[in-house]
Amino acid sequence: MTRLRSSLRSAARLVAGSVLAFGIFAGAAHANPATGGKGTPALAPLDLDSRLIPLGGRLDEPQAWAAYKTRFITADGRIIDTANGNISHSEGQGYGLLLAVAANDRATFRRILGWTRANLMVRRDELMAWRFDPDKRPGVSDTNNATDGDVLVAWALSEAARFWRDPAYNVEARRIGAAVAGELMVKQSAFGPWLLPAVRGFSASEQDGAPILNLSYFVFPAFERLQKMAPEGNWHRLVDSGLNLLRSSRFGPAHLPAEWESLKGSVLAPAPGFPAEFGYNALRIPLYMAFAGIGERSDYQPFATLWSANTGPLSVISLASGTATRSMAEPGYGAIAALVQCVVNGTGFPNSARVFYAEQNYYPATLQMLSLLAAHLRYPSCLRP
Amino acid sequence: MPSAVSSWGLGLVLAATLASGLRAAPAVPAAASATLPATKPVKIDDSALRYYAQHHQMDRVKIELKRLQALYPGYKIPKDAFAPVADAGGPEDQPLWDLFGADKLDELEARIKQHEHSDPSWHPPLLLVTKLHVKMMRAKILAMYKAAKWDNLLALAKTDPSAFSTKDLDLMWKVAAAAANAHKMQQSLSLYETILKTEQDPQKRIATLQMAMAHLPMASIEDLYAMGHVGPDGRNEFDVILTDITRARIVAFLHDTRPDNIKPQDFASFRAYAKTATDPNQPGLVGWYYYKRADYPNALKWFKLAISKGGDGIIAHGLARSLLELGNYPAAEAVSYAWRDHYVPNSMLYIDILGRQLAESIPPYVSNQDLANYAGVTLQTSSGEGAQALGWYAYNSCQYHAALQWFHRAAAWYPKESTIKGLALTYKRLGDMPQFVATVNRYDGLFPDVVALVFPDDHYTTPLPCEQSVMAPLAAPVLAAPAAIINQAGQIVRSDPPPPEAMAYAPGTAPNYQDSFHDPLWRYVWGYVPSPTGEPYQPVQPNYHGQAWHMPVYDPRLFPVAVNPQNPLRYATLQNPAPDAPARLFAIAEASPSAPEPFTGPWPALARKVSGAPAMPYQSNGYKLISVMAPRAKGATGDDTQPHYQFVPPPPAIDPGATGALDRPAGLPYQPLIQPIPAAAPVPQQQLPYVAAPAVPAPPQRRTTAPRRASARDHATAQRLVIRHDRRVAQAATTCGSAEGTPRAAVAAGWCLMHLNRSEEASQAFWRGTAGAGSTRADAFYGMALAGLNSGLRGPARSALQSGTLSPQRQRQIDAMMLGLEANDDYRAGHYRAALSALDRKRSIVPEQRSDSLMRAWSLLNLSKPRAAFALFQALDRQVSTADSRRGLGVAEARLTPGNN
Repeated sequence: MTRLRSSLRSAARLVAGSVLAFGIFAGAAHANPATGGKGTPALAPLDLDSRLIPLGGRLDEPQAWAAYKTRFITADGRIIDTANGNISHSEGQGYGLLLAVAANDRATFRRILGWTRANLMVRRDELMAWRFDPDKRPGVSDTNNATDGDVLVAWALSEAARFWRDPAYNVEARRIGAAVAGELMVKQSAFGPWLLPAVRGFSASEQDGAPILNLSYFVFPAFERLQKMAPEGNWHRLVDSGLNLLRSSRFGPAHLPAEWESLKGSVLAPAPGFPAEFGYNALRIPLYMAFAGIGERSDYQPFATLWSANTGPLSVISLASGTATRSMAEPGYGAIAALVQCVVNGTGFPNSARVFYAEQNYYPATLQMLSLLAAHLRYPSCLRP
Repeated sequence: MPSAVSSWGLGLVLAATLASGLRAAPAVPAAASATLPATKPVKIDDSALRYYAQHHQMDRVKIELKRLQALYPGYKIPKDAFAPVADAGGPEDQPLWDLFGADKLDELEARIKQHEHSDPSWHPPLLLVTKLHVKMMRAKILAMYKAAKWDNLLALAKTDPSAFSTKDLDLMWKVAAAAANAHKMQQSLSLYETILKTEQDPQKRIATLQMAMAHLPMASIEDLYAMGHVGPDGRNEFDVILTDITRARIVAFLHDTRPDNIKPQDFASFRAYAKTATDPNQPGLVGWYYYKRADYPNALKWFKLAISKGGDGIIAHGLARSLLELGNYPAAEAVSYAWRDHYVPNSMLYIDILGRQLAESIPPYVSNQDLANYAGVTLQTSSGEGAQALGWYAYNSCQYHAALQWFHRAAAWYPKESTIKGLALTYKRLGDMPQFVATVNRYDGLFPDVVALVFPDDHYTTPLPCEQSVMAPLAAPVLAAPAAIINQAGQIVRSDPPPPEAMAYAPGTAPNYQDSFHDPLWRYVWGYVPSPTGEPYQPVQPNYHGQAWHMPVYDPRLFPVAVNPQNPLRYATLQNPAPDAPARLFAIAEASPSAPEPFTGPWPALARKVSGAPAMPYQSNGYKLISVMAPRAKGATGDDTQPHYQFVPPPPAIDPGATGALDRPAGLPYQPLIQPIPAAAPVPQQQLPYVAAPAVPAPPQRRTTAPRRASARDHATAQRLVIRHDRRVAQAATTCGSAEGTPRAAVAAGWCLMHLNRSEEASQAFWRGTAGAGSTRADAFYGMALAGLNSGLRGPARSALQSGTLSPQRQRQIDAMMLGLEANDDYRAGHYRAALSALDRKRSIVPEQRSDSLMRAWSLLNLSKPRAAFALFQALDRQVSTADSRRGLGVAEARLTPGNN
């Protein structure tokens, strides 16, 4: 409200004819003090289209997909996290399923789903145990879930159900989606509904009234699908509240969100007990926004600014100083930066982001594939040579 | 917000903070005379400002305004500055108007430019320019609306609000809708409010509210509704569409975004409308409203009406759920099955409803056709729940081959604790020890119930009714009893052929048992579980030897052993042919190899602690882990399934400190049955291991593992126990003879102590006696079991059962007593379903005692089945009317009376 009023004051309006109240158009394009500061010319709104685009068969990267499979997906359908002792987790399985349906690779999809169900569906509810160590017994190390993994798997299943016309995937997607809606969606907060990162350990009652959230677990492009799959959840509003949370998560001189944040009333802060950083988790926030075609220019601005001056590898940023603490050297991370520049400025993907490097580890490789997929879906002009 | 916005909007003022920079305006003829406040009759030349305004050159308007305000402080922009000027041009401009009329706007623009280029002194008619601008804005906005470019649309609207107005309501609605679609609800609401403030046409006002209802949350709609004019009759003008408003309120209530405060008269008129509406979703909405308010009879009524009007799968879902809530399982099942392909939750509901019945410990009769339907849906949706339910149905009716096939699928799709337990049990029943061992070990650390299959604990499993044949003589009274056999769910499970007097079915509703499967005693009947691969039914020789099947016990050869932690089971969904499947995968991606699995063993021999998992039985039972082998030398090869560790069992589960007192459940005369079967009956196991029932030939013994014998270490421990408590034993000896002598003497002392109701000391004495041989040893185990059960302990009884020394008759007695204890414990803990299950299992072994029947009736009552409870109390009261039966009858009757629930 305050922000709106101040922008009303600064913006001149001409009204004529039968008189209208267009003060309500005081937009966010130049309303954000964090991004440009006063005096910056108002930027044009982004030309984003948030309508749902089915992704089945849209990953037009056969070479990259072949290389990805050969490096990260076992014959059993286990996705190997090469940088973390070759373990597997629900997030990796979800990404694998998503890429498989996008690559129209049904055999691989079946393999990944088969492994996922047989090994991670061991909880009493319809969610997945989040982590599996193939050299330990039992393989599941923790009965807790990871909400982004569950959301990713449900999303991939619903895309697969549509693309391959298999109702079995719909049933499975619905089960998981309904469990996420029922167990993990916090219905009320100052920002609207939000998602707990896991069933155990993060809620208000477990965190002295200041629950902990992870903004990169808001897999925005999944929500439109899940709204159809599990309508008991208010997935539409989750998009708004995710963006609201992001707009209140501009920490330090670089105005970046934290990896983990604690929510007290209407105040967000980097979560105590976690490093106050922007890094491996949070860099997925702009990826998911771009993938869903949501957000305004100001929402992308901190990321665009962070990554525009920096043509080299990405870095983990300390929120207090706004400076790099350690490098995220692998090239796949750079694809997210390229995607953000594509969304904000229409810049084409540089070669380093366009060419898939199979030698890198699972996580950057996966993020690069997802960035390419998002570009194929919504920003194809950025991929043209 | 609205007040701030409107006061600003109506201010008609350009803020003083406009961009600076004064420039002379071009000299142009004034289109209209300047209007100034009457108090200041100074002639101000604002023709330049008017020119710019007419041409919508806003930047220049701002500059010119600034200049004028510097010259004439207090100058305000004239209200008519933007008003189209009646300069329509001359007849020579008609072709331009024609283009305008034909909506050829691009062509018109080009023509004007061309004209201006060729004749710099020419200007297009001002009216045309103004109208062209508005029309082009409109076209752009509509195009953006069509392309769903919400943010761009709003940005464009913002650049020149003067281009559209409440006069063009359609455009205004579109902008408001765009704001809502861009998740800018407050902006959207403000626009609708603006319209309602300025627009006075009642029809247009109502249409505006309807438009808003399509986009805004109900709370905002209520704000707009409150802006409605209230007529002299006190009615809001918007009540013309009260039906729509009530519908939106109901929807908001269903979505938990508003409380249930719909006025009864509004709801009544909505019902009247819904009743006659052709759209099935209207009565459907009434159905959901009642459903949410837990008024299921009314919900059912309205869903039925909606279905009769052609309702869809979602309506059918409401119908099935209402039927379910009303306890009409067969109808709920039929509806959800019929609509399974129309709406995914119907298929899930169907799997759930029938699944619950299939998975009961003594499953009810389900016809072959119903089982086949269920199996079909299970395979089509690769439902782990469905596969598990079929697995349990098959297992509990001794169709073990089918059980294995279904548990395989369930474990591949849905490896929950109960699924894996079913799979392991089935492996064991089929004698597949390697798979049994691998399965139990794979889930060590995660699933205590699975690990409990090799560790004795307080869960004792009695033989399945489907494999009991030796109980025939004892079971006869059960068949003759007038009370129907009732399973856990309170449903009547009847034998085939049932005695006519016991027929509990309404006439004409008895199931058709043709081509069905029954237990050896014809007490139960089940349908055939189809094989998922279409194989014919394979009978498994049940344990006709009269030896009750027991859980395997801890054996170091079984546990712990090294095993690959990954679950290898995979089953594809039954393929649904996709009519137009997408094109094939790129060849390069299809041919690419998989990543090699980085881990190929050796596998860990020991389980780790899993965060969030309960304690394993060996932890809660006090077992100790020891290393039995030195770690293998590096590079050594060999069988990695050899155990490197063993668990050491705790001392025998005889706790002299335990009181063993049993609380009598309210209203229940519970007494442990302690009537030792005479010592003459038991015989040494070596001579006559099993007594076959007269009707059934005894097959050879088929146990796969030898029963565990008490080891030397156990005896030593026991001796220490005895020594520790020698004072108590000595006291006993003063009246019952010495327990310190031979095993035979110890057994005699044991019986003596039992008669003195000193069960714990008797237990000690009997334990000493188990060191003996032959009948002494057999009697000692038997006595120990009875003494333990009398103290409420099941451990000694279990040891006795596992000793292999009990005659079938004694075994049956111990089994029954353990079940009685289990039922009693469950009843006391308020687990009435479990109590009924234990009573059912007990009744399958021995005739039901009156005390058990009373417990059954009270359990039924506690499970809100007053009708069944009443019937049972009545039957008991007719046998012998006692205070207990009369009291139960009174309570059940009161519960049956309407209004007392």
